[in-house]
This record gives sequence, structure tokens and C-alpha cells, in this order.
Amino acid sequence: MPDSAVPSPSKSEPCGLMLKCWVFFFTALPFLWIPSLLEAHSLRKSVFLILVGAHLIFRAWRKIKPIEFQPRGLDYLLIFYVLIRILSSGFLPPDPQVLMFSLETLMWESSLLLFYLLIRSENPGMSWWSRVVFGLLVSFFLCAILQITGAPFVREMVDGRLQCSLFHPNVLGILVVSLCAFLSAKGSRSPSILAGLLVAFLLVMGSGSRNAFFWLLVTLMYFQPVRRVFILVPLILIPGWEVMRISTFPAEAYRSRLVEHFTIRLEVYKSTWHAILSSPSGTGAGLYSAKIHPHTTEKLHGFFPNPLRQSLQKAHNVVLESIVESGWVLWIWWFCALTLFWKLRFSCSKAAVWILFLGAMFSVVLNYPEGQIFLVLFLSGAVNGEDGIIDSRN
Amino acid sequence: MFRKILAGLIGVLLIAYGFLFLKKDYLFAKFISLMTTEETLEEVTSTFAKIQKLRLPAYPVKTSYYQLRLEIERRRFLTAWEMGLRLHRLAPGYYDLEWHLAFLAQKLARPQTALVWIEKAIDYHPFEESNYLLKAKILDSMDLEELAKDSLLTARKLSIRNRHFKAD
Repeated sequence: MPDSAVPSPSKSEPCGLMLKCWVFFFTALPFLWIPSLLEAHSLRKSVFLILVGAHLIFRAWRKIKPIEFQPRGLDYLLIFYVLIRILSSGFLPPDPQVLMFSLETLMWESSLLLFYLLIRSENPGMSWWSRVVFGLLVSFFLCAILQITGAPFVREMVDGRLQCSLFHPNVLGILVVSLCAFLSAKGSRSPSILAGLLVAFLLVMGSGSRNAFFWLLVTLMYFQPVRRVFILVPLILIPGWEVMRISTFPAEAYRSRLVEHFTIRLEVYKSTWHAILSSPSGTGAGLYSAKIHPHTTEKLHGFFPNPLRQSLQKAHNVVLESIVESGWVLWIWWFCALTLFWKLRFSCSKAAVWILFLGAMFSVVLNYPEGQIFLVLFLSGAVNGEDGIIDSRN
Repeated sequence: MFRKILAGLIGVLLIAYGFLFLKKDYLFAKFISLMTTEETLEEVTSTFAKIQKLRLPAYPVKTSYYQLRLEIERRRFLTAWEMGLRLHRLAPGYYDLEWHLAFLAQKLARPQTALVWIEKAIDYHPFEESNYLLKAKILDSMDLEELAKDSLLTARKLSIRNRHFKAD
């Protein structure tokens, strides 16, 4: 394990068993799905909560020197974020009903914070991170093959698009690009890295996510370990692949109406902006979809007339949605968080976090447990700074 | 020692929550499936009772909305009405909540109130034809036939528009 960028006052051994469990969890992630559950992510969320609980118990009760780590600005900011979320959910102004309705989100975000602190304190080495990233890529790839073959224990494809049992192909796309960014940031040209990148590229192609295509190109162009001429390959392949899919799956034809799509997205942001202006103290954590309808623009209603079939549920922008839910104070929080994050030493995890964050500015990837788990996982790695290989870019 | 006990307690709570969350999720999926397949009311009610027994904060808005729908199915209109008003305060425009409130007000023989609620439903979802159909019914029950006819025409126009509108 390389030396930490942050000197820890008392270095002690990490909880090996739990770290192995986490590797297992991430490797099994695409297969943690049962058709009889309400949401695609329910089993994953449940297993995650159980593992965080178990890790906490192991951490507290094992008979070795308790791990201490030097807290950094981002750690305090994340704790502060959860506090803001709690205060904006039925405390300021007092409303027990809002608190009751926000409790699920608050509990989930608190468990994410615990997971972040646990991984931060464990400070696993690069081999652990490699196992997690390669494990995820391999299992996503296996899941994709099973999806294509129509195996019964994975979710069906969505109009020819892979989603690997996640909520939506777009979520898969961005998550895979974040893994791709992690691998690319290593700056290595080893066969395993190149194989990983190839798998990631195929998965992004299969997901058919335009947002993911864009960030994949950005990732390859910025970090690419191969010759820049290879960037031309996806640039030529992607439009051809899109045209082929649209002609094979008529339901996908709507994707070619770019102006309409742009208008819908613009109206979503306008509606969200109206909601921000009308609620300076926030609507309560997790209540965006419950509170947005009075602010929805007329034009958006025209696109989605039936509230039972399709309606505005997510802002498609993580910053705006969090500000709607927790108030204007989060403008300052986001500014501080991004400034502190920018100042972190360059690392593979930092690259992955950037992709997740930038992807979430135009998609719902951070609205679902998988994306949130990935974010806090890589954030803990970025703050620890132990997985960084290249330091020359800073 | 205090830190150890606290961490252990939180850990146990998280593990228990993880298991219970999975159970609620499964029951909820079963409940919605029973509601849509029009199974016997007893079965639907008993499944929902199991969900409520868990007393878990998972899917709070959805749970309240479906509870309201179940109360309507059970023809307990007053309970449903009170429940709907509470939910509206927290989640205005959630699915077709205001439509249900207008429907309930009509069932409770309060046509004026029903009219107010259906207007609210139209405010939140102005392109949904079922809002105008219910409005026509309410207006008709108030002997405002001309207005009811206008509303019915709007519903028809919207129905054609929405059916041929690809985005929905």
C-alpha cells in the first residue's frame, strides 16, 4: 500500500474481512436483483445497509487499535451536508409531517455518510480499488452477456439497450464511464487496463446513453493512455451504432428528435428553477417529486399530460435538485465542496468522481442508490488520495 | 466503551432496517400487483395491513397515496377524504391526487368543493383528459349542462391530442 497523502496519526490494520465483503458486494452488484421487488435497486440497497451495519459493528468491536484518521475539510462538509438535509426536513420551519416523509432519505444519506467514513478510515490500498473496479467491470460485462442472451435472472433489455439490472441504461452508462475514468487515470498501458477500457467502451455502446457517450469521449481524450488517433474509433462507431439501433427498434426513434429532447430538458430545468425560487428553506429531503408539480411549466405538461404514466420526478441535475430539497444554503455548500474537491491531489478516484458529478448534471445517475454508493466510494478514495498514480497533472 | 455500544447499536439498527426494508419492498410490490390485477379486496387489505405493521419510513408518499386509493376501494370515503387532504398539503399534484379529492367530495355530496378540487387538478395537470371528464360530471350534477358540455368537448379534444402525442 502506497504511503498516504494524509499522514495518519495512528496507523492500524484495516478490517480485512469487511473489505473483502465490500469487494464481493461490488462484484455481485449487477446480479443483486429480484423481479418480485418494487424497485430494481431494492435488494442492492438492502444488502448495502446490512453491510454498513456489519462493518460498523466489526469496526467498533474488533480487538485491535481503533483506526483514527485525520479529518479533512470534505469530511466536515459531508457531515454538514447531512445536517443541512436534516434541518431542512421538517425542522426549519418545524413540520413533523415533512420530517416523517423525509425520514427514509435521511436514513439512507446517513448510512452513505457512514459508509464514506468507514472506507475513509479503512484507507484500502490500490489492490483493493483495482479488485473493486475490475470486479464491477467484469460482472457488468457478464450481466450484459446474460441480458443479451435473455437469461431469466437478469432484467430484460430496454429497447435493445443494456442496463445490467440497474434502473436505466443511462445510469449504467455513466457508472461505467466513471470506472473507465478510474482506469484511464492510472495512465498505464498494461493489457489489463486496456482490456478494462475495451469492456467499458462496449458497455457504454450497449447502454446507448448519449450522456455517457459524451463523457466517455471526454474521458478518453483527457486521460487516454492510448494514442489520440484511437479517439476517432468511437467518434465514427457511435453515430453509426445509434442509427442502427434506431432503425432496429422503432421505439427508439424518439431519440432522433433532438430539438424536442432539448426543449423537454430545458422545461425541466425551468420548473426546477421556479421551485428553487419559491422555497428558500427547501422542501425537505427526498421530496422533489412530491413538491415539484405546482411549479411545472405549461409546456412540460404538454409533453407529459398524464400524471400516472409519466411525470416530472427528477430534476436531472444533482445540484439543482438538492437545492430545491434543502434550500439556498446549499449554493454555498456546493461552492465550498467543489472548491475543496478541486484542490485534492489528482487520483483515479478523483477522476471517477468528476465523471459521476458531471454526468449527474444532466442525468439521474445520482438519484439512485447505485450512483450514490459509487460517488461516496470514489469520494472516500479521492480524499484518502492513496490510489493516485499520476500526480503530474496537478 | 460508550462509542463501542453506540456503534454496535447503530450497526444492529442498520442491519434490521436493511432486512425490514426488503420485506416492505416485497410486500409493496405484491400490494400494487394485487391492486392492478383486481384481486379480492380482503387480500389487498390484508397485504396493506402487513405493510403498515412494519412501521417503516420507506416509500412514505407512495404508501399514503395507495392507502388513499385502498380506502376508496373499501368505500370509506370520509377517511379517504381526510387522508387525501393531508397528503395534498405535503405533495400537491402527486399523481392524480386532486382528481381523487374531487371524486371524493362528489361522493360525499359536496359538489361545490368537488368543483374547487377538480379545478386544482386541472391547474396541476392541465392536459389530462380525465380531469375534464370528472369536471363535466360534477357540473352536470349541479345542473350546469352547458358548462358540462364544454368540459366534455375539451376532454375529447385532449384525448385525441394525447393519444397521438408521442412524448407521453
